[in-house]
Amino acid sequence: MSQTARPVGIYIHIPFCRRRCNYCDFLSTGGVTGVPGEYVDALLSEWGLWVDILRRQDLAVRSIYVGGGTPSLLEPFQLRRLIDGVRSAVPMMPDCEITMESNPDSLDAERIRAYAAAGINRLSVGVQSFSDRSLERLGRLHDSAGAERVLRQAREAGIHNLSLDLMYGLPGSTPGEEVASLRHAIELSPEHISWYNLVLVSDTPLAVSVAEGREVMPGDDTVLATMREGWSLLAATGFEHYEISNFARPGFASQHNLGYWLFTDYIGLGLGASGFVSGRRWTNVTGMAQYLATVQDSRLPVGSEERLEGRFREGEYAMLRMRLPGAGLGFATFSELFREDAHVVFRDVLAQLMGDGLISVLEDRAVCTQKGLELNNLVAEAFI
Amino acid sequence: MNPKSIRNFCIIAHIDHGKSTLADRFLERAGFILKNKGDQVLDQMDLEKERGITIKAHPIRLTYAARDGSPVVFNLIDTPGHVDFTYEVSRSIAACEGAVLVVDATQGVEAQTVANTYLALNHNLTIITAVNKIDLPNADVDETKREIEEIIGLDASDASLVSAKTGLGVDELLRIIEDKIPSPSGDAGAPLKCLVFDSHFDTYKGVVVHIRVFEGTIQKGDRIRFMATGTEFDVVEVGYFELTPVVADVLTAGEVGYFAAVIRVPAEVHIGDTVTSAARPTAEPVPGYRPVLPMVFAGLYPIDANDYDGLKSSLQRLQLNDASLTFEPESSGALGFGFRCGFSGLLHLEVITERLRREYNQDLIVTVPNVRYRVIKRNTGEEVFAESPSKFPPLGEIECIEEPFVKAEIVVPHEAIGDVMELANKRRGIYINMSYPESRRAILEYELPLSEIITDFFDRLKSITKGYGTLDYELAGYRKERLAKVDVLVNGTPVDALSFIAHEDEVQRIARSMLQRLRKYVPRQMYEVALQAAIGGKIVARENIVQLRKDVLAKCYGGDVTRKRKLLEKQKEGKKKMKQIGKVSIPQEAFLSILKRESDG
Repeated sequence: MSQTARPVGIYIHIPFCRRRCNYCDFLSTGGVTGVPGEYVDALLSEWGLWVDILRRQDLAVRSIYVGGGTPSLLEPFQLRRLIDGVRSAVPMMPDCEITMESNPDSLDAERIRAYAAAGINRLSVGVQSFSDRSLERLGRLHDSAGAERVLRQAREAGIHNLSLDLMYGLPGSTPGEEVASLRHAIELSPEHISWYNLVLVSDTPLAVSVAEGREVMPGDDTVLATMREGWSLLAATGFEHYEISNFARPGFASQHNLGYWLFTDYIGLGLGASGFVSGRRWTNVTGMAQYLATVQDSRLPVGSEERLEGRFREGEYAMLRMRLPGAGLGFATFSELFREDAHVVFRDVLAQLMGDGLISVLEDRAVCTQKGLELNNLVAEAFI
Repeated sequence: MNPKSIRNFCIIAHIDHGKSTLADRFLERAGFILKNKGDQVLDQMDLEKERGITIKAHPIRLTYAARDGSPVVFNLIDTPGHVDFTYEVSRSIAACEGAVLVVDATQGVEAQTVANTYLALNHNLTIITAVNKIDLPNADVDETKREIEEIIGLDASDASLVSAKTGLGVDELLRIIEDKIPSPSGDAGAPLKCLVFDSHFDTYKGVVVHIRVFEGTIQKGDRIRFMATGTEFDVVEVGYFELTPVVADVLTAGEVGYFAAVIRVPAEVHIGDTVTSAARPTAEPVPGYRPVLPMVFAGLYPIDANDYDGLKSSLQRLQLNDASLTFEPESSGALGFGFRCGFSGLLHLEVITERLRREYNQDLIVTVPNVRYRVIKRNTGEEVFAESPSKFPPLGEIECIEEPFVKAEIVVPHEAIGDVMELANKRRGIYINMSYPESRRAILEYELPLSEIITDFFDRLKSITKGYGTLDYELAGYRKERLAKVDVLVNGTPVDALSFIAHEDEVQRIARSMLQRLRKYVPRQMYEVALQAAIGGKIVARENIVQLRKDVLAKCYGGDVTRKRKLLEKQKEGKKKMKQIGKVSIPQEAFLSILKRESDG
């Protein structure tokens, strides 16, 4: 690895779950107890296709992120194959962050130790809520005690970078319950918390329940009150609000997820995975048979791709950056990347957003105001 | 042509009862080869198929061998079928000697059939009844016959039993038409007398006038006169329609066909007018002519100001085949430049706007439809006609407002009389008369404000009478009423396009319901939005839209930035289609929601 090597992130998608949660629209198949060996083989074959491309460039892997689905359905030896496969082929940065998402119901002490031994140094646990009532409504397979147990076991297994995934705006839940759930999470001292608003997606079982009047989603104003209270609580307990839905102890922001917002390259491996390399975005095919066949045929299983140019590319960049409350849109970085002055490119947009009180334009960057974070879509729309 | 060998008739049927399919069978029996099976030949426009209404009639000539082997000519005249087009239907019917009443054996008699059958009976047409779809397992022929006898009052004992789909019984039906429908009478030697029952525009020939010749002859070179307008033209072509037009030397008394006379302006040709010879005019025109006046007015505005010219040329093209459509430029503070258009009724308005959207890809905002008011000014007594609320003088200058009333003839089943009278009273109707042509139905005569008719009166009537009520109306004149112009303000800015005229007693109710509907369609904005209705400076109703406080996408699934961006782009695109009133974005649907007034009876 050279000093000038460009960082790259690797995302590996594991599209299997024991049971699909009723709010989820991610690409995953439920009713599965383990990850088929042929899928792991395919992931490695797909990676093999990338290795030749990457070797020609001066790149180094800064993060590996195994997401899902439920990656903790992987047997530890399967995970080891994947991580070793990546590590052995291209240069790794010395502090490479290797994250695995997990569900409490598919973890135990032994398994966590084995995952750690396979290379995992950051574990993201999908707790979602510490209210058993809410967990049941969401169709989760674990309870809050199970989540606590897993966190303790992860610590014992020597994982020093723990992240909790937690949701708010849940059906039939009160702001009080949700903030209590967040407080519960903070008390367990994770390094990182993803605290995000459950968004109802059409055609999910939850959306059907809501449409049929069996579940009621809290109103915008209620969710907003929860969100504000949660953000204050997180700030007061030492968490840095580095992305709209992500909070970390100093130094523990997720390198991989930051990559998405900072426009750095990443490769997505697996069914329906997305990647972004040298300005080109792509998403893999979403049909399993097609994915397996294409990879077996030594072809990249790209389903769709696009390359934005000029103003569109700059707009997308700004859209992503404006999700970072502290960093915002840095003017120096922008001009380095695009050889243009953001003040000039976005003159009208910046003026309009400032006028609406959605952003502040500082000397070196533009950042969202509190209102701009709460109405972040309006900020994003203005830039794209 | 010898009139003895001619049969002029139309088919009366409810939507989906098989009129077009039966017409297709007739065409096949006459030797025409239909290219697209299943595509019905007579209905030309997609919209017609979808709404099940025939908007433009298309006559067709079919030649068969008669019983004795000699050729017999059938002129099949298609009829439009909705209240807004009652007059046009009556003109098509007036061109015929007979009608085939088609009733679906699985559905029975439906309301629209009843209305048109009465229209035909009033014109002394010979009616042949046919029960269709007898091939279907759920066909109930006896019940259908019983309904024809009980509801319409026609003898159905010898009704033809057919399946237009399979062709079963079609040949027999053709024989019955030949035998029973009288051949036209009329003196070919008398001065020319033709009824104009339709027209269409041809790029090369100008207006092509569809006619029924009652007396005399018409041929190329004749100088003809339209009796209602007095305008004269030289005939350059006569002919008749098969699947396409066929040029003929001459059309004589009894025949149905067309002529072209280099008529460049469609508005010169009026449906129901009589065409005669300029040199040797007939004494009396064909009775029943009624000038088609635009009765309903609405502003049509392009969403994108750049589409103004496109909208203009689309309207011009539509007008070529639709003389009852009028338009003139108009501008609105809220909506920019557009057109104030005149329509024969609310359905006509809907059909035109729908065609503009679909066939001409025009993104439109349609303002609240209204009638043409007469405003008398204070002091001067000057009269101003206003087709739009924005043309009203300031409140202080108005002495009084008059609105058009119509004389309405409402045919209702006897059990619905009470409810219909209540409806008419609620809509400010003035009772004139009631008569019973037979025991099962009554004819109610009312004078009603046209403005009430153009909202949902007809829909309400249909629902009260379970579809059997019919409505025909003609303009009766202007009457002074206690009316007020109501302005709608969005955050204090008047939206001229939303202004409306209402009866003083109804202002509160209408304004409130309108603001409530508006509120539903205007999305939350970054600022609180106040919706107000006002007469002059006085606020009569108010609704608030609370501000948008949260709009944020929480997650970015596996780094799928494209998906996230596209979602936002779509949202942004939707907003672009909205109209900006000050800082407030108002979607099209908000304007459209206003178009439909509430229907609480």
